[in-house]
Amino acid sequence: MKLFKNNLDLIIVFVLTVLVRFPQLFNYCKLYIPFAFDTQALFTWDFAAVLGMFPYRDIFYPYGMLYFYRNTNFFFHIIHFLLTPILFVVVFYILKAVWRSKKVYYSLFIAFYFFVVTHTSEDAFVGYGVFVLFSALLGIFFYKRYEERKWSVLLVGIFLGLFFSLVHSQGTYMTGVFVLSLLLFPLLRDGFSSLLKPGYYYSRLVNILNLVCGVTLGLLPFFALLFLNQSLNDFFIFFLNLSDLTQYGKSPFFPYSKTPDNIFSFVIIISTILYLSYIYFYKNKKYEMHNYLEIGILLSILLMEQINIIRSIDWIITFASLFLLFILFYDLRNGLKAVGIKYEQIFIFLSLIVFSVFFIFGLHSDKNILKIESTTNLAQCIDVNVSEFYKTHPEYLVVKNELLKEMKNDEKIFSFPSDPIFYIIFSQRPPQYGNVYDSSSENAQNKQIDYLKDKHVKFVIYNTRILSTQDGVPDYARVPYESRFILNTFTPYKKIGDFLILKRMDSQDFFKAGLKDIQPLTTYLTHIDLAHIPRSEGLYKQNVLRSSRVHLDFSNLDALNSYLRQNKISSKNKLIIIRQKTNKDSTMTIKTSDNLETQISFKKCGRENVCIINLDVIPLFYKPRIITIVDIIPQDTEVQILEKPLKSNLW
Amino acid sequence: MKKAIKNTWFSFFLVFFTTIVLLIIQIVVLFVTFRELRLFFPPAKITDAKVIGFSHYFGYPFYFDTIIFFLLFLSPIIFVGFQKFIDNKRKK
Repeated sequence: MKLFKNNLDLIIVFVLTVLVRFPQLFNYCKLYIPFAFDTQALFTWDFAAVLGMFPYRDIFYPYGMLYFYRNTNFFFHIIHFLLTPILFVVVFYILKAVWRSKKVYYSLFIAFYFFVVTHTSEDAFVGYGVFVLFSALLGIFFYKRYEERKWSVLLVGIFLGLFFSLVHSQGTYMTGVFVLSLLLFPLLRDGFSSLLKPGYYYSRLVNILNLVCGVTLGLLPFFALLFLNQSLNDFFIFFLNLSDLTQYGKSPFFPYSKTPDNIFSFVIIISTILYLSYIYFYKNKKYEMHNYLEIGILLSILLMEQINIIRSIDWIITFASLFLLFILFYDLRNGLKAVGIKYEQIFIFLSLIVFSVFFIFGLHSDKNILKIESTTNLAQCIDVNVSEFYKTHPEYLVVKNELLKEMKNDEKIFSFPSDPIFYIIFSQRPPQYGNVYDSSSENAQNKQIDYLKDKHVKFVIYNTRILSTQDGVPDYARVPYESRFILNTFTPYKKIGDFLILKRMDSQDFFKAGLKDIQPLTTYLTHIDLAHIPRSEGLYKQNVLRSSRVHLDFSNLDALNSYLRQNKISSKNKLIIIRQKTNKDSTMTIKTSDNLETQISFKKCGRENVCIINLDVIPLFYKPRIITIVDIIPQDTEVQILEKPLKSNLW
Repeated sequence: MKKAIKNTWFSFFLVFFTTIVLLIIQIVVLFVTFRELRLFFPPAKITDAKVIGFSHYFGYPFYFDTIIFFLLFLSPIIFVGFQKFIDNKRKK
């Protein structure tokens, strides 16, 4: 009874946040308007869940079981629904533990709630909130030395294992921050001189072992589920290849970091680091509980900034920065009070800061991009979304109607490069990857090729309006193996608006197909830009070239072209190595014996390096051709033609 | 007691403003030399996964932003520690 009375306000917060979200528990259908790249992908994954596809085995899905099944499985739906109220209760609990004054922590909580609703969105808050609040609670965990209690780390490990099963990304971040905290907090608490004591290493080792046991136990139900669905092996392959996401997702950070959201977070991070450093060096490391909270939240923000560095999530991090600011307010309040400033004046000052955050800084505000409709189930929701899609994209319906006239019941389509909505329109199980962005790696492209090898795939729908799916990287550079298979196996059949329909036929040459409408596309594919790829290959993989069997060196272009006139050199398995005498961006023109020509542009190689160009990934050479003339501007160049070594890691 | 508290505040603001000034100098230097620094770092390597993303295609160094980030955001610890070191030397 006493426990109930002491925590009545927590219960009220929980009940109120459940009531606010209650309509979403039953009739909840997101509309994925305007069906752009990101929203098409999310919509396709919902469709895959309705079809009963299983993540990792049947379809690439990076977010975890909770998000995949939240709209089709009642258990996951309830967990997802309850996450938001639970997170808000934790926020309230932490503010209450720090401030103790009801007026203050109620006001701060209400401000935080409205910030999340108006600026962050509940989805994004749930997406990272568990991680941020877990890190904050770690501050209390280590302040009170809970890691020294028996079973505590084991229990945390079990929780981490269970949560990882639901949301892989957050589970991984939480495990990482826990290990970091396990190493860092005892040093801050007991001093860095602990590093000289064997006891520090022994207790850390015991903690890590307990953590590993706990995580393993927590993962067992998930592994059992994967095993029963024959997806255990696929999951491990998926997890081991997760780093591929960072490789293809990485975009520049600092040139684009001058957003209000980033500046707000940076100011909070630097202020916190500065203040905590001051306490460490000038106040004999006397950290109190709220400082431990600050360190925990700071660690989570620093880790989230690493994700932000890969791909911008600046507008999501602001809720964590605001939460950290509300804890820092406590130190600010104490400092101002100590110099004699009155409580009311402090309250006004802090309120002005909060007001500025909401209305003056210009932080991103959530404009409810995803509208909500009321439907009874996900299948109906999908139909509603498709109807909305046709209103703004009628050309997709034209493509569907045209192709259905020529397709038998068991025949399929493949969408290239990035219109996974076609699978929904055709009521077809999508391939492992819905777009070329997610299938950027060689392994992923090979899975797409396996899907395409199925004789039932009759048509490839090539959206010629999309030449670069993301980040300005041309799709012929992003997915060369997939592109090569498609153009070598499917022949241009007809054009419907911007969509080139390729049909599975006895292979004809794409670049000699009679279809007039594809001229712009063939021109595009014969004027390609490899940018920095040849330079990067030359810089890191020159050693690979030593094992090449065929090795033809030419000190200038005249010697090369003279040799080509007298010998038939096929493009198959051939590398062209360029060594520039003048370090400049170059364009190479290659002509073939069947009167075709391609231009390949690339960035300067660097004075001490070479550029490596693999002809097999050049669209014109997807089918082997005889090279007759090579011209390079600038002409002052040494050229080698090598056979690509077996089992090389060359692109 | 009030004097001690005011001295503490004065000490904090001195450290705070000195660190901020050093940070601003650091940011200005990084801003001015950003292009040269970026070119100094080697381009991203195409790994065995053969992924071509922005960094590989446009030659943007993969770890460049991470290194600069930690240089910037951990420097307040070094600046404050250094100021304490100077203060201790002065007191001796």
